[in-house]
Amino acid sequence: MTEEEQQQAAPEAAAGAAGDWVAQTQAMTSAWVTAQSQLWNDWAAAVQPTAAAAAGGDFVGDWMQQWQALARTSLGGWTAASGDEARELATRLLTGEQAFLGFVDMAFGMMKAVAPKIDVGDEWKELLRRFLGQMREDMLRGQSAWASPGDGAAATTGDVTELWRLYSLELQRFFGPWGAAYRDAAVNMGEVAKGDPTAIHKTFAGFLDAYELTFGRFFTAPSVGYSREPTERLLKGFDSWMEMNRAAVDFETELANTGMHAQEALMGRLVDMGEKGEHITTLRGFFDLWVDTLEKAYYELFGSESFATLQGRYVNASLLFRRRQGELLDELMDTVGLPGRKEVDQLHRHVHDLRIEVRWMKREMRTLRRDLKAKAESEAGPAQEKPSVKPAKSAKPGAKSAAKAAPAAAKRRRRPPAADPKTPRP
Amino acid sequence: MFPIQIKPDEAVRELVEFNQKVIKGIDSIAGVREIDVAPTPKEVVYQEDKCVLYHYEPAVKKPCSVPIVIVYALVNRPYMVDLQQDRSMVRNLLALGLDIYLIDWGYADRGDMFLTMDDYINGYLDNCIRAVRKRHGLDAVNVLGICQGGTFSLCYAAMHPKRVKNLITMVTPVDFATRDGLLNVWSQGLDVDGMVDTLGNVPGDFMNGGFLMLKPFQLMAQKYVGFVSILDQQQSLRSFLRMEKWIFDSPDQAGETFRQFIKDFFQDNKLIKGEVEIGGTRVDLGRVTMPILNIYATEDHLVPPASSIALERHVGSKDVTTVPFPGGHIGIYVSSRSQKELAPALASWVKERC
Repeated sequence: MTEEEQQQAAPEAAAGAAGDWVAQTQAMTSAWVTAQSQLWNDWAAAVQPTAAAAAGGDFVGDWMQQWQALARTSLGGWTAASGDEARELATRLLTGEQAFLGFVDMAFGMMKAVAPKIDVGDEWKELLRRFLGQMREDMLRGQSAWASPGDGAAATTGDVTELWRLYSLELQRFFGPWGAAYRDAAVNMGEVAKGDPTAIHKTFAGFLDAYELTFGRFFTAPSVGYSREPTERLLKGFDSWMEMNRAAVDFETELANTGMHAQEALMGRLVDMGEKGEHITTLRGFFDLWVDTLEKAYYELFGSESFATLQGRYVNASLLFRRRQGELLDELMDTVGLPGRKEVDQLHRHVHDLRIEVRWMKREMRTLRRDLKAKAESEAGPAQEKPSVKPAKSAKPGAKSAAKAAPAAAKRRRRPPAADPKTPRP
Repeated sequence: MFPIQIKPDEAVRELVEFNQKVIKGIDSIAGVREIDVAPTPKEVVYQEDKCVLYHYEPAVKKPCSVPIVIVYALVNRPYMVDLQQDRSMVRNLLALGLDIYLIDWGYADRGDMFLTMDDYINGYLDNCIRAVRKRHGLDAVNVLGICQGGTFSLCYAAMHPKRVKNLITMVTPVDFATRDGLLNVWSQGLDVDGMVDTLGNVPGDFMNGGFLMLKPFQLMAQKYVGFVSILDQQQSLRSFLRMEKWIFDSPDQAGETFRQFIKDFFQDNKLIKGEVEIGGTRVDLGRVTMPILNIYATEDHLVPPASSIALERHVGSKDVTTVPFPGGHIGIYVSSRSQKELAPALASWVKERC
């Protein structure tokens, strides 16, 4: 579509779609897609003459990043009228594309380092090794960026003061919304009830005071006396948070190490291919080789017991931290007279137990009815034939089960199982 | 010779084409409003809490007199067996004259966190089987268990052998100590009590994260790169979308059931030792004496073949047929080959025994 055609088409599409937001979105999407296609075509045409030079430059990094950013920004508009699955798939598609383009960037970097030397007869294996060494260093740098700033380093060095500060921040973030929520709730309630705003304000201030008196003082209170229990809980939470961070660092380090081993394996495969005279001629082919190599390396890691231990430690530590947070939250809820997770779960337990009891009672009633009916039929007289336990094979859906009359059913009666002692109640 | 011979101009062309496909593809995806699954007509015949028993409309006038009850896993949703018209095990079985029921466990919520394996197997499953037996006037029906649903079916058959005429298990884990299954290995390091006590129910997203970790680069990157090449094909796109919907449609796992399943089955491998207890009853696989058809996938990365094959060594039945099917855990239901071969093999085995 030419620029002139696009200009003509846009108002028409907009006019035709007035009042129909789905059609409007489609029209916008269509125009955007056309423009994007044109952009790529123009770019391709422009870059072709200097493609060889471009391959050694940062064109992938710059261009791809810009395109990715644009695409992600536009994704919401693209898929505004789509179903949930389509929208999520579009996001995942862009993520997959990003992985591919990231790999392409890496591949071009490698070619930039290696290709010029090949022509002058340098030893390509050594060049490749050097390049992969560089990549390894990049990965290590990337690994430190995975952890949130400061967390990993502090956890490793055992800087307790820094950890305490971070943990405090974590808790503040955690409880902050609660304070805001209650504040808003109090204001809303006041507006709805048209009550005394001063009283509402006092209630709110009282809540904040309670908050400060409970959790605010935990941070400095010693682990003795009146506040010993809550302080203990807080300290346990701190310990769990530290352990979670240590476990996270160990886990990520192991993943990064495997990534490096995978790069070595990739080099090995490339060397093998080179010696056999095999070639990779497409980016996609190279990408597939890379993925296959990574997958094998990680599969080996994931299958080891040491990894299971490491992963288990990380997951378990994360869960413990979450549990400690929950306990603190329950404490807070109790302070302000609201039910917490623990209390609601107890209610769930009661409802569940009742539900199960009703089920077994229904079965018991069914069995008793059946036995009574069988008894009544047998007492009605010997003229009645004893019902067959085995029904005819040709029975149709809806046919009455002959087995219903079997008094032996009483043997199958069951009682609700006693509560499993291994299943602690909350 | 240097093995990478990618010419810069061709690489640029490849990149341009790739991105053009992505653009067109997102346009195609954006046009999709709803993903339709489970197209085969069915009706609800029994319901209890969130558990629903469906009966599929028979495709022949006189279907097999003993119906099959399909017991799916708690993980993911049962419409995998009826994903779309041309990829539907259910449709194929109906066409071959079988009468099919399907149990849908529903989406467990926080109120279901205390549901135990006893509740699922001796409660919901038994009530569903009872409902089918009553409808057909039968003492026993055929049970087809899939994956974890197969393990549940096996336990059920051991505890209620007279109610199961024939047992079919598909990609079913039986021996949980095989070392070639990553899930088996990973579960060893988990503090399951801590997990359930903390989370109540185990989130479906957590489970999915674990499944994706089994092949992280293939499942999270390469798959979508490959997907680009089929974006302009509406049929393929919709099939892909259906599969995506299914993969990420993961119900939370009822906490107490998850606790027992991981501890007794995965961590302690009690099933084949005869040490599992459900609702106070020991699960003795020796009591599983009815004919068994055990189908496993040769490339299964979730349930290793060895884990499924072990079934024949531990059950009391003298009539065990073990069938390998080329493909993976999911391909066994949706692959083209599966459409042609799996249902006929299954149907003929059932018909011979009904």
